[in-house]
Amino acid sequence: MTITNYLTRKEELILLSIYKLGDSASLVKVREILNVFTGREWTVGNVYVPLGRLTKLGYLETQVGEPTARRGGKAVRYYALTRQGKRALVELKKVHDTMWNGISDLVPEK
Amino acid sequence: MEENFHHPPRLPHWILHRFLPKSENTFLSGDFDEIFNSILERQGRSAACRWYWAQLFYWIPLIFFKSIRWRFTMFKNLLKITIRNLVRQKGYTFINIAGLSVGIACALLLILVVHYEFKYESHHENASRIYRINVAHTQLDRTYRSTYSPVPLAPTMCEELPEVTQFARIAEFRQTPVAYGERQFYEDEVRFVDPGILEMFTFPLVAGNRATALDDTNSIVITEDMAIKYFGKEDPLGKTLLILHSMPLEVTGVMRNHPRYTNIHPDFLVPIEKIRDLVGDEFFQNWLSQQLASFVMLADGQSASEAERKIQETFARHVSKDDGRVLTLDQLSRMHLFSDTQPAGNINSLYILLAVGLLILLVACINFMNLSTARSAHRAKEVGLRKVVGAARNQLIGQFIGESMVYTTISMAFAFVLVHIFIPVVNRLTGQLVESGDIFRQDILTGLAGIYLLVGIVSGSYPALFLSSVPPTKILQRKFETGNQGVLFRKILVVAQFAISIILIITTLVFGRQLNFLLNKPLGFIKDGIVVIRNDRSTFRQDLQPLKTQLLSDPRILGVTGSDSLPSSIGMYNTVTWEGATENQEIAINFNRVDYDFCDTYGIEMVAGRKFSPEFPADAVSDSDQRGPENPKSIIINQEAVRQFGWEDPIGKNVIEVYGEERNYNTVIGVIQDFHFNSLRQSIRPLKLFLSTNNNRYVSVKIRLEGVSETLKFIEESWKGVFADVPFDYFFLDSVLEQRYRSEASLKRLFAYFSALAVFIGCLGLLGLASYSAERRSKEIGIRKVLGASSAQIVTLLSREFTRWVVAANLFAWPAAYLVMRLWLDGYAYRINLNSQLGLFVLAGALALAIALLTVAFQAIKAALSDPVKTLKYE
Repeated sequence: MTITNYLTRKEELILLSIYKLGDSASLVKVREILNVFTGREWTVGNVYVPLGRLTKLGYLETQVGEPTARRGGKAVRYYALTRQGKRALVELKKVHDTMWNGISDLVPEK
Repeated sequence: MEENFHHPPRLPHWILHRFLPKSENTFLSGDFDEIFNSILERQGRSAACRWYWAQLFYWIPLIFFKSIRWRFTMFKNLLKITIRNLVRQKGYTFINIAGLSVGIACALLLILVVHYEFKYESHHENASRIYRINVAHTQLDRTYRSTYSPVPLAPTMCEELPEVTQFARIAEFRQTPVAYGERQFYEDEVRFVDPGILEMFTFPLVAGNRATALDDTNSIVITEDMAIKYFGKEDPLGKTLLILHSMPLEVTGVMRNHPRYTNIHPDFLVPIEKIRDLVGDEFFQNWLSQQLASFVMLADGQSASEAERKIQETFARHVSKDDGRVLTLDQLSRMHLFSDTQPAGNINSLYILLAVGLLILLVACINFMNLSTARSAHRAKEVGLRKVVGAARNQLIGQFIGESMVYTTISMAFAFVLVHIFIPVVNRLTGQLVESGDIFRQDILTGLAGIYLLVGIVSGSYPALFLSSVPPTKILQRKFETGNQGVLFRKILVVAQFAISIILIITTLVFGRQLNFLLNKPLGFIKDGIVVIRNDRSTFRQDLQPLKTQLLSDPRILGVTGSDSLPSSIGMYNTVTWEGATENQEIAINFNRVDYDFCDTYGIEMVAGRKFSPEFPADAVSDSDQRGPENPKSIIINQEAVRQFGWEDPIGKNVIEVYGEERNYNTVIGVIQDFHFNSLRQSIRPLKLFLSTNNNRYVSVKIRLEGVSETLKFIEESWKGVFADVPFDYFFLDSVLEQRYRSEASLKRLFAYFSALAVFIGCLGLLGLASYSAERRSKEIGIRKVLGASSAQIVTLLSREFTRWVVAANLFAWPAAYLVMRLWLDGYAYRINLNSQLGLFVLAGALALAIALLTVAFQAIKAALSDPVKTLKYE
């Protein structure tokens, strides 16, 4: 239960997108996917800062990739969930589901 | 897939790259570039650029947080470490700060002294547009330069040349009687001027209207001081001053007193038209002779060289063709130091002083460098650790330069206090009137900032470069041995320091010798016990005989004579040819009009022929008449003239004065020995004396050296008895001659003080090094003592090294000082022989060595007497 106290919704979304992206989860890709799913523009800082925090808390691990021309010859950093990260997501989901259980009249409007 | 990379806009790219947190730099800016490229592909370049720029602003808070905050934290840490070091090692801190403060204070004082001279005339608002017209006339081997020019010159230029917008002439009247009722004085600063001068120059009036004050020809403008002198507390405006016994003028304005840093300081300004009353109209139309100083103001932005050319052209149209005079322009603001005609200041001695200031500063910086490198071992561990945790080399360089900046800042504060305290002392030495407030003038502050950076960076540079270059592994493995680093460099620096000190000492000593030589060299005439009475311009034609008779009746008076010039400064000359000269062979010969007993009074010896004598009536004929070969004028010439004429037997030979086509014949009746009738900077030139009993601008009275004040009183009474209306204005010849070498004397005094300070600073550094080396070798000394070394041996051991350095310094200092002194002495026709003064060099070296030894020995003895048990206890 404790983990959920520390993670914001924003961080949850980031963790989820990293999980979805699998091996190609770089900052740019994470931001793209967040833009698509949430339908609003995420700034780089809005992604970068939580990424740093999540890494520091041990939910994420990083790996340095090859530099590419598209990046001006600079290396890319890939993020992946640690075991702890996955556990945190599962736990969040559990809380989420528990909270929603029994609510049936709240549905997206047509 | 290979894609084209589009580079984002340079400026934000650079800023982001520069300020993003270091560890994230590559990834983040890569991310930015990637996003930039994808936006560019979808929405075009401008949208992408807009986005990129926007990122910069989103990131500013983070940039600030990450980079500035850490920088600030780092800075706090460095400052703390610096202050800890400063407090922990009080002895070294003291040596460093004392040395630097004294060094900076010296440099600052010298800069103030030099700046003062550069300040001359700067208070005139138009100083950069006002020029004095000088006249240069080359005749034979001599160029005659004058700051005076013909009277009609300036108005003509102003009228005919659009470049000249305004003019002002200044005619000097010295020794001019000025009276207000009973109050009568002789004034040197009466000037007849064009009325426009008040507006052209900046002479602010405290009373009266500047625009109209001199419009009325019967008006006079005076300074505040003079207003008090003549009118006391009364209102000076509207009062009448009587000038030259005959000219009543109404005071229409009072000028503020002139600052000290000016050469143009008239006390009384009278409209130039009044000269017409004195000498007539001809004065204003005379293009042939130089009568007064002419100043012109050029239009804004007008080039001086262009104007000079045009003025010369216009001048040529007004005078005859073969007039050899060349006109040059002297800018008012540069006149004091850079005039080609008569600079009042001496720019070379100012450069010398600046050089001395810089050298002393350098000596102080060397102290700092030496002590901090010698003590580098204490800092080495800190440096090693900083490196291990990731300090980059330039951060370390920054740290050490920063540290020396802290020292410099503290020293600067002390230096300010020192300057404030010592300004009066320096003023006494130089005769200037520097105020400590001058430090805050903008140009001085700029120099100060320069000194600050220079001292901080120079003295921090070597320790910084040196300490930051040591690999951390070496330091932490303790392979970096205490204090041995940079020994050679330190030796070189100490040698340089002492070489500088020794050069300064030698310079002081040689200056002193030369000055003594100048003051004491027999001039060929008697200068002690001569009272000279200046005669009024209106009375110098009077007959001296009654005065002579009365004075000579007293046994205290040894002689009385009159002359046109004093024997110490005979400037007038004319062009002559002589019997036996080849055709067109001419030389310039100085001349003086003298009374019968001139040579006797001044003790000038005859080597051949006879003196002027009343027994030969032909001697005493007015000199203004034209003299043909049948009735020549009698003259006495000096040996130099005989030598130049190439005569075997000069008596009875003729010297012929050349005035264009005119010839005037002189016959030599006697030859006197050479005497120095000019400054000793010049060699003796040909001279002739002729008799004139009514050209007594100076009356010289030779008196006994006992009871001078009573004798003076007697002379004054006699003078008043004979010439009731001429003031008794006298001076002693020897004191005036001493004044002649005033600049040398003040330079010598400055040198004496500042070289002492250079030695002091050098010794402070040596003290630091010596105590450090004693501390470092305390164990070695302990072991030596246990094994039976005597205290004397240990003192020798410790002092030997430093002694060697100082001796080595001599080897560099001597030749350098010799060359510099040779150069300086070349400026004097009469000078000490440097080769016979080599003792001074040895003396200077010995002095430096003795002082250094004393300094070192103090530490060495302390170390030698220490108890070996204490130093060896912990092994």
